Amino acid sequence: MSNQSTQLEVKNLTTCFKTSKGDVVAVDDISFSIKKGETLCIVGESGCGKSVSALSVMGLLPTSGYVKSGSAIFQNNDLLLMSSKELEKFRGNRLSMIFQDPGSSLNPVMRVGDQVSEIFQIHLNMSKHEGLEKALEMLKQVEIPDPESRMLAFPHELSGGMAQRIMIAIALACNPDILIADEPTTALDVTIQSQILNLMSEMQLKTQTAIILITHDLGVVAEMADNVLVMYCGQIVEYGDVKTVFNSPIHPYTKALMKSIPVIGKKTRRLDAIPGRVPSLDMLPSGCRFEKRCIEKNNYVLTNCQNKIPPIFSLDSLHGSRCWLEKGNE
Amino acid sequence: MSKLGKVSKNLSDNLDEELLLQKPVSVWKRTIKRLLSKRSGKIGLLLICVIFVIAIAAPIIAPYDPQEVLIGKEVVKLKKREAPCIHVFGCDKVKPQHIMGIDGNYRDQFSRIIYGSRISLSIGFSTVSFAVVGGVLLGALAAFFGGWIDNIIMRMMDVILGFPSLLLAIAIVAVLGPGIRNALLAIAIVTLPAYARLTRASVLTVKELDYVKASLALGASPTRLLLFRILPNSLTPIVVLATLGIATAILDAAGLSFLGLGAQPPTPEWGTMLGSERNQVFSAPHLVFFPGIAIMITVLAFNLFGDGLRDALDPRLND
Amino acid sequence: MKKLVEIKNLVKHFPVKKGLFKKTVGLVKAVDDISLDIFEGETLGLVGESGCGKSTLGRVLVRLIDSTSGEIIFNNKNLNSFSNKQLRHQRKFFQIIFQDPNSSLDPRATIGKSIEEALVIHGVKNQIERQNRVRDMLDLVGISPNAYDRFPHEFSGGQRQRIGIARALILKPKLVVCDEPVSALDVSVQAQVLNLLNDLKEELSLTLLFISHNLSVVENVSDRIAIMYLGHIVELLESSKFAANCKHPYSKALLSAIPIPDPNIKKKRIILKGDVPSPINPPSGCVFRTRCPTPTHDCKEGNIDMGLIEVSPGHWVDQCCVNCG
Repeated sequence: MSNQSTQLEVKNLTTCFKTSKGDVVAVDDISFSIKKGETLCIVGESGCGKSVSALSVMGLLPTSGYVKSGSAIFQNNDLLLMSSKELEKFRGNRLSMIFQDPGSSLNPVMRVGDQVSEIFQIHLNMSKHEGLEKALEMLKQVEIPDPESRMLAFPHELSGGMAQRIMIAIALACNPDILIADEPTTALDVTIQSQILNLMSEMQLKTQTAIILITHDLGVVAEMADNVLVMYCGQIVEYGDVKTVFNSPIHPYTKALMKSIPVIGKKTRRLDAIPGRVPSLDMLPSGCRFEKRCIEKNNYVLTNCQNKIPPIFSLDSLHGSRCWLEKGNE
Repeated sequence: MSKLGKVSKNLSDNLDEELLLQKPVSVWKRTIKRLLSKRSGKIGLLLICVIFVIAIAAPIIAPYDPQEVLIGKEVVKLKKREAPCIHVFGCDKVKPQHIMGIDGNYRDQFSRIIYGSRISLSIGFSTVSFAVVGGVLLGALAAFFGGWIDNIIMRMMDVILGFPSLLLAIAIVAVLGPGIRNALLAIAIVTLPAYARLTRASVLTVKELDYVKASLALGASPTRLLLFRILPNSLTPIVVLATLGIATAILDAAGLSFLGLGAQPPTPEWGTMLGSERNQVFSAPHLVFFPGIAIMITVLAFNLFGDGLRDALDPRLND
Repeated sequence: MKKLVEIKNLVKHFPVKKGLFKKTVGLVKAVDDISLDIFEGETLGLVGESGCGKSTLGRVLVRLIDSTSGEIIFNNKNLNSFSNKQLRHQRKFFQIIFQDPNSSLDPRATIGKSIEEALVIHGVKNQIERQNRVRDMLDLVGISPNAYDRFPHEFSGGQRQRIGIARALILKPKLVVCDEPVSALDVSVQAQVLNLLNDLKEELSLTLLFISHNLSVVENVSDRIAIMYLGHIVELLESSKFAANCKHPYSKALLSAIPIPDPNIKKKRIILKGDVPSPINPPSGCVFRTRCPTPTHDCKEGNIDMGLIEVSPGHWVDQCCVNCG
């Protein structure tokens, strides 16, 4: 029985890619949900499957990728079962996505104003003239300086920060219920990043859009998230609300990650590096995927760690971790 | 031992286990593997091998000497431009076997086609070699030094490219006189600018890559940079173009010979054979068909192989 | 402390060429009159956002790019005074580590050969000796010496970066310019490589110029920090004092822009207006005046020239913003 304000509920999503070495599982049985006006951050390193999860939900996987199983219920529709024609009505309208590199997300031969107004013409059936008027309004909302002349500009004439604002304008044009932002500020300078994150928060307050923010930057997570999902090698290893996860992380990976990043104002002689490296997806161990790098394992759980993938143990309904060390704590 | 010993032990992330399971794989080995996994590459390579074998073993395969005129040398009197007679397919055993018939000068066409493969292959390889060596040299110098050297070399190339290639080749041969050697030179000159341009573009890109800068920072001299770091990494597009260029060169040579400007009769070059019999298309179609097919198959072989090679060398297909 | 490098009034302008005859229509002022000293044994951090010229400064320092004007005195020798051949000999004293592990190694050479090249160039004639030194170096950076014959594509990003470090250090240079050495790596690998650099620095008595856009990393790794904006250095001070004592409004904005991985802290952001101006046409006078939150009338008119003033021992700030307070 889902809560009235739950916008999206993903259950047991598994996505695979066809490679020359066989099928590789990129996303392994993940589940999460998001409510109206909430921000969910999916955090992890490259290859952990965070982007692929988002692309799966949006139906934007490349040809070599396919959803093996799972469901993504959005307003009583299962997105994973819809044809691409049906999905088109949702994308850009109720469900939007912005990507890391604004330079390659915008059409280089179309003027910026036309690209924004296109959304209004397609989804809200407006005429070109009306679309352009609404586009100008959107540009003002995302605080583009001198919006009238910017409407006539081409994407290559814009800076990275400006282009990302245009992306946000396009994404939020139809007041979508969910916005998925895949590393939206990674390619931007830190001063521009703070502008963009600020903008996203302000727009969210106005429109109550739910935001799924994908990032590898724990600082961004701490600032923007209501809830956090930590991913490693295609699996969720920890989830919870942001204060609990940061103040009392359970999973050894989460803990190690937080200890290994340099924090401004807290200078240390040496950083607490995580030994070893992320296993490649075609050579995954049969047990816990983090086991080889884990410094918290002990003799009691070692056999389990090495041979069986731990399930997610929930501390309470809001905080859970995929670790054998939590077996007794449920 | 400094604490570095501990550091590296910590980092030595099981490299031995993973890596030493496989042998080191150089870029060329990977390329060949990829090439052979695609059908176009395999077929192209196979055809090329067959053509090579035919060319090398020509004296063994060909039943007659390609220049030998057969009037009065055989028991049964032969007609000029006799149609093919293959005993297995029902031709009268009394008549001598000529698988591809007899041409307008009483010579066995099959032998001429076989020997023609030698000429076509050597034309293809020699023109492309000349064009590649010259083009790569000029292009690399232009890109590496830039400035007025670049300007002069590239404007020279532009002049050559300004003419339609076959017409320019004809003009060169007209000046130097007909003959295979001059035809080769003409084709090489006409195709050289493409290699120069491609090399220049390639070198300009590679020159800016970090590993070249790193060698520069280590103190490498310009010669060393060009020969060891830049050129080996710039030649990929050249290899593909050269393979496809062999096909074009064979076609160009056949074209020139067809017009009477390349190989002169009685040389058994396929284009020449086509040219001398072109008026007999309807009365003796076998004399036009077989040389044409030979050209087509050879050009196809190199094109297929070149396509396969280009796909195999595409860096974006790295898994 | 002894000065290893003295940079005096260094300028690097790139011409912008347009048209058939490549006429110069403008100048990209990547590095605009920078003077800086690097002391022996220190790690000097150089921080700035994209387009500020920090990478250009690093590359000019190791003479990958020629300067437009200005002097670099390395170990009491003026680098301008060397001929090309002499300069190549001098190169073993200063080296550079690159950002992108995918393009910093020659894909067609084994990693052993890539590192060995340095020794070949600088006259180590015995092949066995060279190979042994390369293997020792690989071991030092945490790569198995048996991997000598492997190719770069067989390694991960972090490993390739370590191979790049091995190549830079095999000649035992005095100065190493690290151009964003960890920016392209995963977060969990960054710490490994940073620790490695630190350990190698102590073991081999290196001096590092650490260039990055990530202020948190730089503050942790460096002894002193220099903040760069549009080709100028706007502040320079000890890294341990940076967070509490920085004075320049750009430094303060950078500091406040960094998202802190602690949800309990909600800090007040100083959000700078607008984008970074183009280095082709930087604002006259103080280049920061277009985004400064508290410009005086003189600043806005562009009347105040740039230049560093020592406001307290070891702490230098650009004079325009010292006056604003």
